[in-house]
Amino acid sequence: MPAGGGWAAMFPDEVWEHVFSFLAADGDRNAVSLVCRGWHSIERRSRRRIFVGNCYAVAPAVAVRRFPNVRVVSIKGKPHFADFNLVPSDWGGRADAWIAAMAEGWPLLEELHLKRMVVTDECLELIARSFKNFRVLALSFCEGVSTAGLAAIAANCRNLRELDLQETVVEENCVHWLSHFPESSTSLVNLSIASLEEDVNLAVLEHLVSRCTNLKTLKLNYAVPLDRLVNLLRRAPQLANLGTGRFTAEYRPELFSKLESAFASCKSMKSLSGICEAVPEYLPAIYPICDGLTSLNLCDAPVNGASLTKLVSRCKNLQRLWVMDVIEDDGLAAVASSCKLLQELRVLPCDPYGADPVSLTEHGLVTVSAGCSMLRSVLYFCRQMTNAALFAVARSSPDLTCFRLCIIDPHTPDYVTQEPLDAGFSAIVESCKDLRRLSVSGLLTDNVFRSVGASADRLEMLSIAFAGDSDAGLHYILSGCKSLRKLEIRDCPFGDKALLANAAKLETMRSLWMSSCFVSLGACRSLAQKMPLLNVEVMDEKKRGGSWDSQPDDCPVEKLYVYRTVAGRRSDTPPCVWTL
Amino acid sequence: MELELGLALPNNHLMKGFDLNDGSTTNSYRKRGFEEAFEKVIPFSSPLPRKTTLPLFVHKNGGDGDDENDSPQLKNPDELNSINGSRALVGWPPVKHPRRRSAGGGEGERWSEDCGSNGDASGRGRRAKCVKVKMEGVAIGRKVDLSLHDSYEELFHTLNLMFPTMQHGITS
Repeated sequence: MPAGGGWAAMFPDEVWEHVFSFLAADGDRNAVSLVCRGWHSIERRSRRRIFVGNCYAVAPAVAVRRFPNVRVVSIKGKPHFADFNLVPSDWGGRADAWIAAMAEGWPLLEELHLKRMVVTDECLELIARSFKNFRVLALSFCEGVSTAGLAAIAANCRNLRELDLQETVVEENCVHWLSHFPESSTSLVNLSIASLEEDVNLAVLEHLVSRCTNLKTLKLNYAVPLDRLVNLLRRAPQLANLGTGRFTAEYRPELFSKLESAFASCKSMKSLSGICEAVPEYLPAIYPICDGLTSLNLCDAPVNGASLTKLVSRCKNLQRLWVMDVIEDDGLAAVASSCKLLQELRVLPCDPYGADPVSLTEHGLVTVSAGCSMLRSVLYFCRQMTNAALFAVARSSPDLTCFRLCIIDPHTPDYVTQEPLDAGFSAIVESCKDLRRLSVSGLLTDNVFRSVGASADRLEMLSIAFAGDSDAGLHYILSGCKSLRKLEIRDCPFGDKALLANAAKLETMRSLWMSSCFVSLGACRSLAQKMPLLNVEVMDEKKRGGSWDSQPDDCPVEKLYVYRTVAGRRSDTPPCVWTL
Repeated sequence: MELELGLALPNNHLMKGFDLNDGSTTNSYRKRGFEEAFEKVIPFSSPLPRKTTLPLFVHKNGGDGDDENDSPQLKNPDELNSINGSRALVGWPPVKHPRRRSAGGGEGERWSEDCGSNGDASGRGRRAKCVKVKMEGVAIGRKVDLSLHDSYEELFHTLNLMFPTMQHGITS
């Protein structure tokens, strides 16, 4: 049956299907599906993977009906600010409706990636029962999971290649869940269980690791001690990505040499994380793999001073480095001079509420920016900043795609001039033309948002906290920032006027979060009325049980979440959330 | 070390016979006055015209929230500013979750603990920040998830439900 008319009809559907299979980007496939009915139909039948950026943006059944042959699914749930406890814990984002629909319509599903969703054991059991070819389960920042559900996955998914539980809270309802992997299970490529709190059965784990000869990624939790790491490494010298458990033990030379030789035999190691509570005596055991490392995560390893400098200066091929601020400016200077291929740097606060801060300042950032010409992505927590430093970063790293700067105390000005940091952040957005993600902090006026709106053409996600003076700030952003998809704002004096004036913009975006701003219930009501494709959710955890209907229009809205959807109002809102 | 919240009657020296803890820890159970603990902290000026309550727990140094260590700092005016600015804010600074194991700390320093099977499904929403609560004279200690409470009043309500007998003891 020819698809569509004209020249498109010259080829059978299978040919177009093959042509479309070369289109990797979702946006391209979406564009193809808009060309004509024929292409729409070919495209939907041949789509193998879908990405749903907001689980409430489309009804599961609709997605399953439109794309009947999907094999790979990625879905995101809660807003990003849920990571910082700003979203009510019972807000929603449950995976069960999606998984039920998928079980019904996609029996050949192979991969499921969920982020910030509530995934219960019933969900996992349904997955284990429903998908015969299931290969990949990746849950990041999820909750609701227990080891009983993992046991079901282990026991039933015979071809499981990946079980990745990044930052997912897992409860322990089944102590021996690892032993549910059948003896015949040898297909694991990725086993990432660093987020488990409880002990795992080490003998069972060792046996599993030795029979999975293709295992490339193994991320252990804190409970795995150093001497057992040696056993695991000996069984899996082919590992490319390792997350160790606790890297601390009383110093014993024979353990050190065993560890060192175990690492030395891992010739293909590319990425290292964990190293929890590393004691300096054992760190040199890692040296044999340093030269091959492209990714190093020291966020659980509060090493500092000379031992840290020695470690990073051996990692000449590092592309990604995550560290705690105890690295201090001196450590970052070592990074800048040794890691010339560095693309991503994250510096997180070891003790964000600490009374005596570490010596990590704007200088560390400037040094890395100047020394690492490949730098693309920065997440940097510090306590002081200057406009001059931001100018320097803007000058030396014009290719930044992600720049997230968190100056820990809100409203902190340039500590030299006492000026707002408007000029510095403006320089960043003006110079970094490819910036996709930006977080701003420190003392900022509406002026900075004028620059952001005007210059940040490719910006997709913007996070703002404690900034701006008036509605003008929000107006600059919403009327500019052509590519903006996600905007999250907290504690800013932005209100109704800017929101309503740019209502149409919100329909082009995935979502807007505003908490502790100047938004009134009346404005939210008009927004919902004006824009039927938007779900306008207001939240107040203190109003549990109270009625929102009776609230006056001038009632302040503590938390507001606006997202576009073709599914209409969701039915699973808890009492503290009201969809207008 | 886990945060331990001691609830003792004002005349707790009379109650020593009932103290389930060994004598060495008794001092740290000195009850902080409400004022000392909360009132002197200037609330962050919220733009909204509503009464703001401060988050319940102010963690220091990975969360070893020992009263004796915290109190002197609260009285230091410079510290007040820092509390005003960052310490007292939910979700700021935006760190996914405070590091469970602080620098140089041993296993014993893990302060956050999952409430385990006691937490209901909706309560699993975030990292539980559980502290043990013991009431003198009551043999069984309970766990409270501080992350579910935003103010002293809410915590007080929960504790009232947990230890019904204390209602008349503390409301004054």
